Amino acid sequence: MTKTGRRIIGIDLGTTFSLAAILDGGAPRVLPNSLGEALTPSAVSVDPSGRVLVGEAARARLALDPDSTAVAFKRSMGTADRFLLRGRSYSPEELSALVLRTIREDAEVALGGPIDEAVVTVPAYFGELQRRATKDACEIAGLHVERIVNEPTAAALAFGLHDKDRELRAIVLDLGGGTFDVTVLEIIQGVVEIQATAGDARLGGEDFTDALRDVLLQRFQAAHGQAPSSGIGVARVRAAAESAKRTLTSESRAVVRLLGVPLAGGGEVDFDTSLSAVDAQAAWRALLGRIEVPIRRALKDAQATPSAFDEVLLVGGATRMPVFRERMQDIFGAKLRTDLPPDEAVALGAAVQAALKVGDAAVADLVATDIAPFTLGVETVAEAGTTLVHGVFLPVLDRGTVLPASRVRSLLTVRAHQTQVAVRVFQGEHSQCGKNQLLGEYLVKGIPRSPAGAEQIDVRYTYDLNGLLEVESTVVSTGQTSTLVIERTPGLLSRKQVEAARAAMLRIKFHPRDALPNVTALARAEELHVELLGGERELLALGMQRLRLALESQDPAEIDPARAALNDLIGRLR
Amino acid sequence: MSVDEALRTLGIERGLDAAAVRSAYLRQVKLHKPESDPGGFQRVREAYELLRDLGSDVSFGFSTEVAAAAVSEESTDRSRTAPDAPEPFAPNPGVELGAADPGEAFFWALNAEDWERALSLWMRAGARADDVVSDHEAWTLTFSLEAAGDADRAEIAYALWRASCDRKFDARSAQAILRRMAEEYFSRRPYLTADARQMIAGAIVDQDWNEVPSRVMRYRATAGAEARASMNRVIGSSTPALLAVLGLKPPPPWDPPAKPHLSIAFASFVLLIFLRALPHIVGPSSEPERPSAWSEQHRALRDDIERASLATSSSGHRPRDVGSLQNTLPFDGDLPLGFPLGRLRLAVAHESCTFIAATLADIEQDLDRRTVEGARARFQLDPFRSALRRECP
Repeated sequence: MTKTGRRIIGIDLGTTFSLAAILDGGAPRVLPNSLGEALTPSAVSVDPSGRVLVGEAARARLALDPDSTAVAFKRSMGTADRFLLRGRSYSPEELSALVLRTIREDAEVALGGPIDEAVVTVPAYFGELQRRATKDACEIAGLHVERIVNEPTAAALAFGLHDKDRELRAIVLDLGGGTFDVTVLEIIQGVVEIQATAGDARLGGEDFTDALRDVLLQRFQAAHGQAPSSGIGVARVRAAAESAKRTLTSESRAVVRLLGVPLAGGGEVDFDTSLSAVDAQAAWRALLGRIEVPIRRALKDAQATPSAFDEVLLVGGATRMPVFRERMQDIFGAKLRTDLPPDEAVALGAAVQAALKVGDAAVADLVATDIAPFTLGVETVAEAGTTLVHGVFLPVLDRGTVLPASRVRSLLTVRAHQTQVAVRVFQGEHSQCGKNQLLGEYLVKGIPRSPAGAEQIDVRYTYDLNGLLEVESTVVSTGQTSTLVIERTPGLLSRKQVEAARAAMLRIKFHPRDALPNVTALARAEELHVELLGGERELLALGMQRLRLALESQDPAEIDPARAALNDLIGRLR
Repeated sequence: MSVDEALRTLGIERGLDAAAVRSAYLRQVKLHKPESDPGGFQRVREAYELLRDLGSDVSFGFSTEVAAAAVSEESTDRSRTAPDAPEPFAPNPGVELGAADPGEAFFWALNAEDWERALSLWMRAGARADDVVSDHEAWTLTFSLEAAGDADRAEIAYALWRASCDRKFDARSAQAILRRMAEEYFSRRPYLTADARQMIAGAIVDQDWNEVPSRVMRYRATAGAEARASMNRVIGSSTPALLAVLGLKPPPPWDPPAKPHLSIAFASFVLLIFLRALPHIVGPSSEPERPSAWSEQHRALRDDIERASLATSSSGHRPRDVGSLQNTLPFDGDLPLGFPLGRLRLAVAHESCTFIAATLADIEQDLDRRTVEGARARFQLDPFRSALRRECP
């Protein structure tokens, strides 16, 4: 397969979906999961027996059992948030690790051999902490991270491999489930050069769904005088909003019919309404406005105008929304390009990056250069006249710097006889440290006693290709150096905790992988069962009964046709 | 990294246009991939960014195409000539493009202390500037950028100047040139004392560009004539406005004082009022200049120098040992909140007995004897006070 015989898969760990791909015979391809599908929902659920479900089976349980199902945990990466599922609390890293573990096992089956290395993508706008959290999640899942790649860079690589002999300036718009990234790049002589990147870490397809959900909840309140029950009721309304959003990508009107929605004050009621494209546009106005903010910033950073681009590459499932496309068409002119499946482009690009890593001959003349998405700096004290102003942010490594990069700034002592200096490392664009994010801090001790300003401390920031930072400081007069290890930040796991989480993972009870298609079929049927009435509902119940009986017999000859029949039934009744 | 190193790293000749530089960069990136050779890639990138930024400023009025054409016509011949031969350049392209004489533009920028523009003009001219930029001007620009705290631009200026020296002279005479630079520099600054000259010349010959400005700062404070001149400047420009704010009558015209210590007293007084009134007279709209960080730093430094010059008018009032004064300064942590230690430190740095004493007296006057805080601060100042008595008899 490659010169070294190593196999590294590319993984797109998404907010809504995750998937893996590998470069095979010069072209990247997506690896199917145990259900034969490309996309595995990034969802984790614990069933009443205490077993963990990952993927479609977990996603299907969201509407029925929202309290023991977790989704969109990627948005909490690098924070101290916890998710409580049936009495056990999970960190976002652990939940991501469960998804990664499933992806890894599926890839091992698809490729017929063990996989323990991966290239993983993160939104370009992920900061230092979120990148480290992603790396931790991979380690917990038993995957060594060969590279962390920015999602739009990966997408650009997938397009770039396609077009490596062309010369073009392009902008990648990556509207995923939870994040929005804008990346300006140039492909020239086989070099994919990222020139600017900007984004909104809390804007994605899920927010568009939430906006529709709010519209539906308002109408529900107006029609029935009270709100649906906070657990299952709201979860079902949201599921309806999600499917209405999908319907509106191809049609101008989406009908919403929900039967027997539980009410907050007890009892059940049917909910019937419809959403037009105009309704949706009104609900999304604020979100569409937010989309333009990072676009403007990326254009400014790259010193480009909207007309400067040969192509606009659309990545991420949410770019399918017609309102989004229309808006982008207005901004950039008619040059939207969608020839790679928007859900898969990032994973395909990650596979290309993995091939670059192992030195695959198919990508020998392709090079990608990436940039720092944030400014990284250090806290300083400024002398304004005779008073000292604390917390002034001194940039060391500006955003847009091509990686890998290393930059030094010299600092001086502020006071006479000062023997120690606190090096506080921040990330952000604000001139005051308080408004930027603290990444870590440490004390440099043993500075010789001298007058104020006489001792110089050189602070060096080294930013590697993964977007991970190393800070080193040197006291010039003594030559003494110290290195910052970012460990004590809240929400980030220590080496020990990663090991503990990995051990805990082995104790978690999973549904056996070969049983997953059956569990998923049943979960999907349960999800649908709530929405049906009368004969259709009875028919579906019969199909589920048949599969359950077959499962008890443990005879594959009975299980397989029963499952196929049930899946067929779901397809027709939905 | 110097321009020559950058050119070598990318494997190209001087005078190529932006597209050619970029193409050379892309070629080198293929050989030094960020993935497999991060160190090599960083060098290539640094070289590219340096050359790209040199070429991005078109304010000089030269056309890059003209220069590139001139180089490519002669490039085959040049490879056979001696390596020290001057670079060829397009004959008088400034006239063709209707731009002002490049030498004159450079001179005016230098004269206006617009170092940024002067540097960009010089950068655009490259080897062609050898005829119009004198060594003294090169040195002034390098030093001024350094003194303004703009280390990056100073390094570029230094690289350009070294490259120009390399073209004009062989390496053996570099030391001699540096000495001549120093002499030329001193000839324009007669107020520097003999030992100041020696120290600064040492730094110049060592090419220790960090040390040069700080030494000049230190020795400039001992000047007499310069101090009086700048004092007149400050008083002349700001006093009417200041007095108007304070509701006082304008002072009589300023004459050179008969007794030096009286002039110091008056200067300290004016400076004091000026510093106190500064927040009132400097409104947000009163400074129409560009608010770039560079010019901010530059202005702050210039003000410091002027304040230092103001503070002294004769070298007879220097403390015998400034170090012992610095060592007896109290610690910030031992003092009450808001104690103006910075002012005292600033005064010590100016090495003027009168200025230090006046500042100390002024600070002590503000300390309230009746409070514990005030008493504590006075107690903490005791060692400094006795040191001052010892060092400034």
